[in-house]
Amino acid sequence: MIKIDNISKRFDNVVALDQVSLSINDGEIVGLLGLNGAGKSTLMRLMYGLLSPCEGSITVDGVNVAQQPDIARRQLGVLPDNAGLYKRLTARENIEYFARLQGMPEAAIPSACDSLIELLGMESIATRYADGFSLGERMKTALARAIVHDPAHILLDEPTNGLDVITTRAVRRLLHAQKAAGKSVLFSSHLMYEVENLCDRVVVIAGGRIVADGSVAEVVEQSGRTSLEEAFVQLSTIKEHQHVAHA
Amino acid sequence: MWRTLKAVFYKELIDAVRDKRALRLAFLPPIYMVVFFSLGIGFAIHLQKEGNSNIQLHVTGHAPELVAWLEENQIVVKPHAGDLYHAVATGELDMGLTMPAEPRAAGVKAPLPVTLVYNAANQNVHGPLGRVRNLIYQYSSRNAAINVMARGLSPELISPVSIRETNVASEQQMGGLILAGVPLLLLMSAMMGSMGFSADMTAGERERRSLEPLLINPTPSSVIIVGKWLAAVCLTLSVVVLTLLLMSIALALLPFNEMGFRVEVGVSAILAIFWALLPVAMIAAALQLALGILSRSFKDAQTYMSLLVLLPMIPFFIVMTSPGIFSSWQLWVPLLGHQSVLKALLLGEGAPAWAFSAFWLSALPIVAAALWFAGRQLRRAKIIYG
Repeated sequence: MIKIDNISKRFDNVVALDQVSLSINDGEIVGLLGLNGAGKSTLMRLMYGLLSPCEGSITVDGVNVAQQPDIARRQLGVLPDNAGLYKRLTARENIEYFARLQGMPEAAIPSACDSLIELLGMESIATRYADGFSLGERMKTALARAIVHDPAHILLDEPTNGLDVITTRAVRRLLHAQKAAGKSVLFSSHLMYEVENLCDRVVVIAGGRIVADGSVAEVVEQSGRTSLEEAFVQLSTIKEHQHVAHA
Repeated sequence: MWRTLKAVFYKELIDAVRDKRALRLAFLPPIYMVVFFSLGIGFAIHLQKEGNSNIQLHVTGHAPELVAWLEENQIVVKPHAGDLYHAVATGELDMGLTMPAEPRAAGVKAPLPVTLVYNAANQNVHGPLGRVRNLIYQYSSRNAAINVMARGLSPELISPVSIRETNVASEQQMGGLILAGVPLLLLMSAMMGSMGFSADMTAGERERRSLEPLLINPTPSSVIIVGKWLAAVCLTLSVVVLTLLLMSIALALLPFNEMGFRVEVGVSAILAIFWALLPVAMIAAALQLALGILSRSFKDAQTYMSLLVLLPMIPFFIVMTSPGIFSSWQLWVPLLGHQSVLKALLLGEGAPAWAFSAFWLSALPIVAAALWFAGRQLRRAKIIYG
């Protein structure tokens, strides 16, 4: 379980996150919705410890991220937004490199790579250099390399952005498989249908605060609208949240 | 930890070997530096041969006996029509000799007025000029001696001092003048060998946005930096080996004996030079990584790192301009110490054994500080997301 407790983050005078609390349970897929600049990426960066919070704490299975980042990171599989590959390594070598950095036993690496390559339909690109990969091929490689060490929790920053249908389906299949294996998944997205199809729970973040948290039906109901998109727009543009981002 | 260190090291090596751009940047300079060096030396040897064997002297006026003496001594004397001063001043001629306009009657015993005309700012003139001047002095004292003898006196009366010169420099030491640039060339190749690779390992990670995913792995910054550093050191050493190999071939093939020098750089000297360059490679790789991580892009990194290539020039000019000021503390200053020791090794003189310990001991704190700094920078939010 990932527990976010009263996290605040400011950059100079800009408040990016304001007293955010959130729990992500095992075996659950949580969608994180928010407009550009709402604080989604900042929240994720705090969760994998590359930014440190101004206040509050985050624990991953009881391990405080700020205090023991490397132990916490072993439990996390992260696809940051805009993740770059090593262009002169093949897709497979990219995945293997991260498996080694995660400290996986050498003997376990080939089979872990094979199963991800099969699951994501990457057979045709596995032995090609990443230079010249399409967006979808890059995304699949980055995703495979993020979760090759079989982490308990998966954080994905806009994983299906700009992907074609086939690839999106592959990603969706993968996330369902992870959920079935008892892992928790947090992914941010701008795509409402994606969130509706995949998520057990939706968290809407606006102006650095969590403004809704619940199942799709609950969030829609809370806003008094008829669709998730309407609800999201309504929740994201409420006046009282506006001041926070520029306080 | 060793496994992840090995993983970073191997990954960076594979990445580097597949990087055509950085490979060119690393392995071409030694080739063209040695080629230009050889061409330069070869040309100098050619010029010197030419200069001593074929001195032309343009003259005006008449002094047949003097001209005969000069010609006897392999000077090509050519009568010049027109203003000799003007011709030398404008650079048309390197030098000239004016003699009395009218031939002198036999038996006149007054000094023969001749003027050597040259432009001292012209570097080419000094060798031939000295030769001609010496011949004229010789002519003068020879005639003086004849005159004295004709009066029944000993010619020794007009030479109260007899001077002889003895050059004790060995032929190999004379070669040192020619080889002064070689340590600079070797140090530069060690300083720049892995520039492109280091830039790709640091600024490249930022540019292609692979730094963030890399740091999300539970790998300490120190392991990442040291792995990258080891790879950069290995790559630098391969460049240094290539440079040394090409340089040994060039030194063996160039006809130094035609200049009266002997240049013998044996296998043990080459190995000692390599051993001296190893700490330089370690310093260079560490500084490159520290500068590279501060750069946003590959091109930025190259701009900052090109400063490192200029570093060996400082000791070069110090040693060049004040060759006499060598003292043992200099061995503790990286690059400055290397400059003198490499030169000594090339001249076959050998270096004090503790010089190598000094190189290693002075390199370690620099390497440690640079790597520590780079490791710290790596995890700054400004670097990851900037």
